[in-house]
Amino acid sequence: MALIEVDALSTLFPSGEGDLRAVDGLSFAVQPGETVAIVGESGSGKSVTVMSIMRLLGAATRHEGAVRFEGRDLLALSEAEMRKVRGNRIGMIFQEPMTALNPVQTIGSQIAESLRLHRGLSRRDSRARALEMLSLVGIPAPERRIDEYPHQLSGGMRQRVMIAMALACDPALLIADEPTTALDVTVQAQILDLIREQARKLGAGVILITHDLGVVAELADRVIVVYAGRKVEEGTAAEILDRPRHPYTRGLLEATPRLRGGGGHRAGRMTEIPGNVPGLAEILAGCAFEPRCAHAQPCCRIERPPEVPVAQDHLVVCRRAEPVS
Amino acid sequence: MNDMSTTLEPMVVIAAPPPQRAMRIRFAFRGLLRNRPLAAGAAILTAILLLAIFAPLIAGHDPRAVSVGDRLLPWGADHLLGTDMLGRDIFARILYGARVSLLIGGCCALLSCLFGTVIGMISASSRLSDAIVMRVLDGVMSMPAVLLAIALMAIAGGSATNVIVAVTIVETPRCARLIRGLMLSLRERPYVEAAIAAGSGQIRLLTRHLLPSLMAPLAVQATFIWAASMLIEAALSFIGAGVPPSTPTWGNMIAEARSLWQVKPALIFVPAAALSLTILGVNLLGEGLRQAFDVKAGR
Amino acid sequence: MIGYALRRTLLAIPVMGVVAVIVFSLLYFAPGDPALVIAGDTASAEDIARIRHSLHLDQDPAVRFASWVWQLLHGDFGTSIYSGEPVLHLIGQRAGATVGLMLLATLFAVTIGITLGILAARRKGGAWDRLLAGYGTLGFSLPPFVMAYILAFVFASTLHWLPVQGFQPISAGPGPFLRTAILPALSLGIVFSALIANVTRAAMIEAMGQDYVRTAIAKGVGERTILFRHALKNAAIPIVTVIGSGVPVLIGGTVVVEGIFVVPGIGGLMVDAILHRDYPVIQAVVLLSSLVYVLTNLIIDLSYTLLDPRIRY
Repeated sequence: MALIEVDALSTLFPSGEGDLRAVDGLSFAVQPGETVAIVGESGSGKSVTVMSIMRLLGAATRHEGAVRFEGRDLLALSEAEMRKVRGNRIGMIFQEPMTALNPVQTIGSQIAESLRLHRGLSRRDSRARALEMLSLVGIPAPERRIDEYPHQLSGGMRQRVMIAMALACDPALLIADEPTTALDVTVQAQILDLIREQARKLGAGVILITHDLGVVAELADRVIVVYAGRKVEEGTAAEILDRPRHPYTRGLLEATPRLRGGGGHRAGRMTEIPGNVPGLAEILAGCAFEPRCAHAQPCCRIERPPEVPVAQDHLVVCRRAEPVS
Repeated sequence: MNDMSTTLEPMVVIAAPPPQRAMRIRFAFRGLLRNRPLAAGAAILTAILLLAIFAPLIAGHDPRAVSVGDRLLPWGADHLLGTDMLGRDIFARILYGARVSLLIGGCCALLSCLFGTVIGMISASSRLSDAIVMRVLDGVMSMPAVLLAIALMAIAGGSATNVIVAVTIVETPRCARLIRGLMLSLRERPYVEAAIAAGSGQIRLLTRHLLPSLMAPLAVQATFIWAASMLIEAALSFIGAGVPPSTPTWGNMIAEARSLWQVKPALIFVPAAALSLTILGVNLLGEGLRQAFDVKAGR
Repeated sequence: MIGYALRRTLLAIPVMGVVAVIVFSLLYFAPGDPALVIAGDTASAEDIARIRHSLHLDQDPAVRFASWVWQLLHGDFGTSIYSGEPVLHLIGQRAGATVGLMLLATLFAVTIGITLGILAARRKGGAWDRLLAGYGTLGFSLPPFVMAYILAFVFASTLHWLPVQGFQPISAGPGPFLRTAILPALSLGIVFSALIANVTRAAMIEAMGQDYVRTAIAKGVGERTILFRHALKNAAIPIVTVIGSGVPVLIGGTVVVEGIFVVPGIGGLMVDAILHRDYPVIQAVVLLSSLVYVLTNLIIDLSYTLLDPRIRY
């Protein structure tokens, strides 16, 4: 049974010119122990998707569909029940460890907070566990660091603290929203290793949000490519990276500078996808990518593209894709 | 999240062209009409201003005419708001009091902003002048405004001019500080640096680039000073250190009625209401301007 | 930290120096002979000579300033021209009432201001936010003495809940003190509370929009804990600063409000001093209230290091 099942999730922000549909009927599932990467440009709705799962978007936002997690629909839970899920069953790592940590609280008390909240630990026990978490995520001299404030730590250390916070209650699901974007390249690999390692130890599922296909190659078992709030392609990481079928995924791969191999110089020319992501208020009857697609046909504009299985564990949402026989 | 016109991260985002000038002005105008505090404040102040200007025509009585036989009359047809303990017409005194209040408030706001701008610019012009001017301003500002004004009045003697001088002395530092802060931050702005690099002259730099950016916060600050100076003026009159009692002012009216306030509270509440309404109007105007200009100004 | 405290204290000295110069030179704002102005129209030649001598107006201003400051530093604030008593003694007699009133007003303003500010910040444009907007507009538009008369009219004259007069100091016990001090303290505190509420609201809205609040929500922390444990501490610096800036507002207010409620405080002393042109008293009151303000700001500046661990000197 899937750990989490996102079923036709739509996220709508009310605005003066009608609702803005940031996520549009997105469906995917994560199995226990599996790492699923959601990939797309900024503005594609990938961050909004996980914010919707955690219900962090504020009272004005409307949701459609369902998010089934451990037998319950998270979107239907009361706020009090949802609080028991957040930080406890689902841990979250944010992009900016600088701003995501409270500057006026010690890192120890920030880690201990969720332990006291969800586990009912005493001040002393939660501190002991926080200390344990700090050494677990590889912070040197944790008994000294535990009483320090975020500004006294380097960016990589802060992200380790974030991870310690997210993992403190042994969550079943870990959500990492661009966990390495704000970090130095040298630190990125360490942080990715740490996430992989800890998730494996806990047997937790991971949802990884990124625009960096290098991170995907490093960490992900499966990849979901989103465009304008819709899924355009889904498959195993190997399939997607090696045999991308959707024109958008191909564009995305071609636009990524390849630093691996070739002794540091770029292998192949970097290209870009012409045009922009459509505005959220635009109603798109057909394929969302059609305006930018080099292979678009007249019918792409009118009808929503079907989900086409092109290989085992490989799904493309495109009219031109040939189904596997 | 609600960033809509985005591209793939490695690409360059193409910014939308700036809106046309005419459209911006139309937008601004529509904004002004929708700006409720601004409209309300302007309406209140216009009404009071008109009443003050045309006081001799509307009042129907001499505000100073004592009539012992008509003492403490209730409101009625002849004396719209009744008479005070000396038989003077309250309505007439309120109208003439508006003149004093508005005149003193306006003068103080104008003078404080003028001196404040000059002093603020001098302060921002060099490190040495900044050190000296700021120490002096710190000193003046550490003295409670009302107390300093009282001390000045006690020594200089009560007159409308002296009230204006005293309040201007008290309020100028606040304005100077604001201007200094703005100048220091403006100097760092790219367009000002660009103008300096392009060899813009000092005068041109000041009039073309700096003054326009100062106008909005200055206007908001002027309303604060306006309200504060009317408040200080009334407080000075109230404790007998303001405009001489022979002049009808709202503060004087309240001060004169003090001994009778339990018997005839209206003698106090009528001028108090006039004063509060005027300050309310100024505050609403300031709040409206603040919203219109999107100024982050502190009191 | 101690080094900073010392440096910061040293910085307060030139400020007080400027205050001393201004207070001293105020006398020269008088048109004509200050001794004549102070003595008034009915004074005899001896009176004028006595005042001139007691204020040392017959000496060179620079010498006079130096000896005046020297005396101040030795705690000698001069002698009242009107009563002949030492000024410091007069102030000492009356400081208790005023300080008690100001503390009560501050307590009230801080409680109401912070509570209202937080409630308003919870939902922008919500009921509490609109209430605060109205409260603030009204509070800023009603001068303290108008507020005093409204409160006296409602709670004393009409409802007879509280007395208008007969102020009791704290030494008379908390009950009598509160009964007689609550109306003057409210008159002083309402404007102040509106000021604090506005700053609290802005600082809380700013703090609540920060990423660390989202992190706290994602940890499963409840709204109340987020408001008080996470956001309020981050919003503390502007709030504490505005509380410090309220000292002159309160001092200015007491001058007018004490008279209405017949509180035997510094305000009454000041009003009497103006009436009698008792210049040494006026000088001393202005000087001491500036000192209180400067010291308050000093303490507040030093408290920043406790409120925000990023601030280290």
